[in-house]
Amino acid sequence: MRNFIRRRSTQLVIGRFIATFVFSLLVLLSVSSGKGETFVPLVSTWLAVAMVLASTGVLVAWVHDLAFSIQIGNALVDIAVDLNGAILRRSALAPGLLAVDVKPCSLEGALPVRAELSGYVQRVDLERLVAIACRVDAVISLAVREGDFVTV
Amino acid sequence: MSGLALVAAVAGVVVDQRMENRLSHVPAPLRLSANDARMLLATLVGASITVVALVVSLTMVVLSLVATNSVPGSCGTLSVAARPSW
Repeated sequence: MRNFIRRRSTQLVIGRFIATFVFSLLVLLSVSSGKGETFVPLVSTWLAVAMVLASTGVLVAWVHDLAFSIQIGNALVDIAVDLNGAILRRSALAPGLLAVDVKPCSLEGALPVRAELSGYVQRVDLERLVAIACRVDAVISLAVREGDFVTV
Repeated sequence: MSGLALVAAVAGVVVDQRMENRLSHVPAPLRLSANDARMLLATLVGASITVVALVVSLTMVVLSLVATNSVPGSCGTLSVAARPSW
């Protein structure tokens, strides 16, 4: 969802059309015809027409971009790129995460840490968890991830 | 971008005022009367703001369509079988 809001093409097409609107409106205000003097800004008027034509081209490109981006394959590619970026950022924050040998560990003698409230897991502070695990020389196994719903 | 358009419009009008005498030799198809210019610009203004509204609406529609497919926990349900039983 963030990708759609941040999408450069959407910002560009809205920006161009608003710019054309502002430009045309100001040029329109400068057109004057009275008894004494008539002023027609020819260059600006034809420039406004050219701006609309250019903006129409951007609009066509935006429609193509939008149709392309909502296809599930392309959406998955975007999600994968975001995920890789998030993993890299997390691993930079908590380097210990990548140093752990990922093997299924025995849960015998493990101490469960239960949620105090029901709801969606909004954030897991991995940096702090790694720091705690390092300090007490323990293994923390996460049973839920961000976005999971937990009940008490 | 709007600020740029504002500056461009003011500069354009100033250029038009300075070139007013020289523009008398403009080819006939490009010549406009005050009424023609007013009508043309009013059409452009209306069309531009309509397209902006259309783009915003379409973006919202696409957002709502995509949002129905990615709700919290939709990925987490895949890992239910792998969760340890305490």
